[in-house]
Amino acid sequence: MISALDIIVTGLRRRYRSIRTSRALAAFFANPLNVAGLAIVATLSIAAVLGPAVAPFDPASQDLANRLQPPTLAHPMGTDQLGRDVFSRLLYGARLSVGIAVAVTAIRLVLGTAIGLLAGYAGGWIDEFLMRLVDIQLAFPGLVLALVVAGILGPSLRNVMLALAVVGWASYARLVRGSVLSTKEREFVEAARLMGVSRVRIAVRHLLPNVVGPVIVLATMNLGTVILGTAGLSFIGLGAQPPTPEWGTMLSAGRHHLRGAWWIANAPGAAIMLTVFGFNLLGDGLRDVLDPNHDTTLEKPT
Amino acid sequence: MTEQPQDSALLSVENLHTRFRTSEGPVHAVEGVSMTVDEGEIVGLVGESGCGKSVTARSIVGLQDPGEVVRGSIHLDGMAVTDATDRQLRRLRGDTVSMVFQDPTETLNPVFDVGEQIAESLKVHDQLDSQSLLEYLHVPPFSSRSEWHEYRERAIELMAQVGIANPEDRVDAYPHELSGGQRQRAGIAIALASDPDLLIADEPTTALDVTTQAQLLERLRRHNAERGTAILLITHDLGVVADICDRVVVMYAGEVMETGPTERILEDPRHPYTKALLDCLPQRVDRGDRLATIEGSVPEPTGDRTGCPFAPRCDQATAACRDGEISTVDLGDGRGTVTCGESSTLEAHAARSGMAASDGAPEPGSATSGSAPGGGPDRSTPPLVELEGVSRRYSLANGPIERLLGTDDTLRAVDDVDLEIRAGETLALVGESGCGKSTLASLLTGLEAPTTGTVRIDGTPVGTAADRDADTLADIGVVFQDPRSSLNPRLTVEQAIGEPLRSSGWDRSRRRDRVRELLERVGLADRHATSYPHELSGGQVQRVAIARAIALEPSLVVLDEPVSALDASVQSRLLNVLADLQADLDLAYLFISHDLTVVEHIADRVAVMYLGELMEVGPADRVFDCPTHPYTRALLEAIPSLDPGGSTGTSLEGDRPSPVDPPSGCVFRNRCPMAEPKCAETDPDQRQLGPVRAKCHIAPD
Repeated sequence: MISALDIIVTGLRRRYRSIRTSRALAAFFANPLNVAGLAIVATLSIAAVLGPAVAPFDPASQDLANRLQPPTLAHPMGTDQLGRDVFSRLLYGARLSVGIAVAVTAIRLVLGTAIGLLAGYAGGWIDEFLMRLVDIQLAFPGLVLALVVAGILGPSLRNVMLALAVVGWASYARLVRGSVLSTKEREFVEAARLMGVSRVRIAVRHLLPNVVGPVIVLATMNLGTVILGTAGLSFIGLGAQPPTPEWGTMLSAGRHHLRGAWWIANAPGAAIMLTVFGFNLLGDGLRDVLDPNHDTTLEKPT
Repeated sequence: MTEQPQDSALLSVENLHTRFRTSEGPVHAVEGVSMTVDEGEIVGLVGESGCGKSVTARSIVGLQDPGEVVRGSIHLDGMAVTDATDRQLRRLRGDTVSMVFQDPTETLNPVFDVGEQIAESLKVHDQLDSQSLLEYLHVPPFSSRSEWHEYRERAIELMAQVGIANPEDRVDAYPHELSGGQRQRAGIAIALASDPDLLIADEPTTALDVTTQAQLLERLRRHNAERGTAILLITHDLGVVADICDRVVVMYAGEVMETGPTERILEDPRHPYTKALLDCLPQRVDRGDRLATIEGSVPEPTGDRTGCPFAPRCDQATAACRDGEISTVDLGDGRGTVTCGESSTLEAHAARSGMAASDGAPEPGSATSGSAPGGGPDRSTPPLVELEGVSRRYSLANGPIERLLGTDDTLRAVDDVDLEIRAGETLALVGESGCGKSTLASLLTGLEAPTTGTVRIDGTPVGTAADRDADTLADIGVVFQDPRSSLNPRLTVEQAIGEPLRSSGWDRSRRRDRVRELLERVGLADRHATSYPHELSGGQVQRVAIARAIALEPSLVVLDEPVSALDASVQSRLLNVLADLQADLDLAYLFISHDLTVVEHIADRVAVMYLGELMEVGPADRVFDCPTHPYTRALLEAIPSLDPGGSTGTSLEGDRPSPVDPPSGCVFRNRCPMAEPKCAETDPDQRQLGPVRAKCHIAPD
């Protein structure tokens, strides 16, 4: 028991030391754009977690007497055509959007990485078959394919998730396969083979950690696109159904009142834009520090 | 070749300080270097890696960016480099000084043919101020290739001058179509295109084979003699220095330790660091003896330092060395200067004291193991590993059509090799790069399957690594050339060493004890167990790789160029570790190397490979003292000798033929100085000549 605790403590200490002295971290924080991206994503995550606790109103409760109110102190972002508080709906929507984005990206990442790892490491006809699957998937425009899937399965948030998940793993698979192909020629993998390490263990222990950097970058960027895709599908009515406070649905409902009540559509629109922007900045920053081919410089960009 | 008065110095560097700004504070790469290069002189700049040699060179040509020169002055042909404008610098770089870099693959632009790149250098030199972009783009209305014709003609001349065979054909070749040696020659041609007064060569031969190195050094020497070009040669190889330099500057941790004529430095070194560097060289020690080492490592060039930077590693250091200001003493009579606080070093030594007394005791284990197999193969015990008629061919066919037409070429990486390794012996496999050494090792370890022939371990034929059982795999440990890439960067030292133990089913606590034991064996501290490879130095990482290779107590360790990426002082320490391990654990080594001086030190038997074939196999002392095969002789002659008076013998002319299209008969005949017509007709058989087996018609019995 004590030795197990010891191991955990030394492990943690080592991690802490490597984080504290990490050049990568210093390089990441040297660029203000990266910090901005991280700040946006952090704010969004906090909003998603704490949203229901801090929201001033119930997102679905209607107050027809106060419909289409412009922003006031009571309603910081005004009310919509049914008198619901836009700010509260936005906070609840953040939870939905981020939740879906994380779930979809996780499915894509696990599926794509597994397929890419298998294809790259096994090679031969397995590789050939899996990569043709990837080619086929990449030959379809992603959002259109998702639209078809969501259309067939019927409009609901769960189906949107499924649709977005099955169309997006191909780029992960291709990325991972490429890195695996180059990593498996490196000498430490040959050394592992000669030490009698099993194939599964080589794949999981030696290859995976060395190819995961670019995957994390792709996933971060992807979170933004998934949010965009979810909002898009909801906007055309295939996703969340009213009265669910989803950003795309809100946008869709607000577009009828653009002339009289601009805040209804603009609030979720700005939220979507800012979120995607934040994830892209964060992804760019992570690429700079995680890409092994990219020598991290500590100089500030001029 | 003689010392010239100081006032005619072509290059003079005074108290140069160059530093780099980093987040952890400034790094002082160069701290107070002063040196001169006179016209027509060859000066060697020597030191371990990280000593600021390259930064000094870059500062001289104004390429120190992102570093900055904070103090001191550099005068090149009377012009102050540090104050020069960009335009002045550009003129200076062409007319006065050119540079050759270490890695020819990186220096040449892969999208232009070499003729173009040499021609560009010529054109820039002729018309320094009219470099319009359109001319270089070769867009038809503005410029055409034909206008470059004249330059390309001159490029051919230059290529012939630096010794590229068939320059008329090679002028259109792209860098990837040339061999490493030819690429470096092209790099030198570019540097010489502007006919500079000073050529700075930064480790120009480090990446090359010993035969190619000898050819290139010969070219540089000839150029120096014919054109009077001064050369500043940066190298860590004292053999190269002894070969061609007139004067030597020894650097350590950004400071000059000692300067002087080559002869004086090699025969009567005064500074403890110079002595230690020389003592580390394997050719200075008798076969089987322990190598002298320098404890510790080059200090981190951060923060403030007082006293002599070498003091922490110096066994003669006094308190004054650590704190005081160290003065530079001129030895007079043009014998150079020494920067050392210990007065005893300044007195002349009649002879260099015996090999570092602290470490000088001969190793009994390795000495006896050196003589037993050397005296004659011991036929009583079965060999540990046996290769019988092993060949490995690679098909170069690009597609099914070529394969159908049968026009595909095959590359003979390894051709009909018979070789055996006995328990406890060190067999060295030597040859130029690309001769199939590493492929042969892969066949043995099972990373590759032989096209024909069989590999036997302990008398049983074995297949590839995937087919071998755990015991057979555990029988052979492998150490790769580049220690950094042979360790998974995401695993700690403990995890990396524990990996083979884990796959043979050791539990956690047993693994941990074994890793501790192994770390101690290879001379690493316990605290290194939790480090990641990037936190360790090159020598330490290679120790980790060795510890991993011996974790399962193999009987044979395959060492693929284990020390060639390391500095001399680190190299000698590792060779000692290897000798200790062999004595303690009764290991057999297959030691692959292109460095014959190391091989001579460590090997019991030597196998010489050329173009996939074994040319000569025999006991080390016999092969080195009295080589049988002409190729072995040529290899030995190409080693730069440490004797400053003796020049290297005739170096091997020409380039290695392609293994796709080997010469008929004996594969070596087109470079062989003794070739006879018979050599072209029949492929010689392996002949047993006393203790040596050689593949040659004309080798004397």
